[in-house]
Amino acid sequence: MDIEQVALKNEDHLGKLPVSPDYLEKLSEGDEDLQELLEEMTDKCKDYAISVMNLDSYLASEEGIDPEERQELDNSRTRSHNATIDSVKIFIRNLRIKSKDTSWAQSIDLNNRSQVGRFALLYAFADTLQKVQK
Amino acid sequence: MYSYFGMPKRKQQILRYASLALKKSPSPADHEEMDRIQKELQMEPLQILKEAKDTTLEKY
Repeated sequence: MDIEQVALKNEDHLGKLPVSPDYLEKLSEGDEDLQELLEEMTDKCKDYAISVMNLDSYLASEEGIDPEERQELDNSRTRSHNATIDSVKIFIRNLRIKSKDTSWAQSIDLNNRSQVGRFALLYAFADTLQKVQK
Repeated sequence: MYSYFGMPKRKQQILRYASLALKKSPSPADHEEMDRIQKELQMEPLQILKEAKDTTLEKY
């Protein structure tokens, strides 16, 4: 399978995600630094998705909402969001430094927290769904 | 059954399943809980995760 085929694989999982996890793995192949940064970004994206789901579940709880607990979950989500944004920026910066394809990143405004957050959620689910299907 | 903010209990279970499935290293207890939720929902893991994705991204 060539790199373009990998980029197009599992499109049904991707929604509006501009790149597949498989493609980023291919781009990082043979480069330990990139592989480590990709793993870090993937972990942060998943942590962020978990923090979003935990807050949503809590807000929907039938047991009522404790303001302090809600605030803690909200703070946790914000910390996770910040860490995710950093990890996405660092990975993309390193791809550029190593002259790898970053055309897929053009559709993400890295200074827009909401856009990076959406990318992170899509990426977290795409990576997980891809692994479940394999 | 609906709870606060109109989220069905089923959706809460779906989000819970996905939050465990996205963990880097789910514990044996996490796997047990996932199995239990899956049985209750009577859905395949892929279906649950796709629905969790749609639910989570509704607001984004």
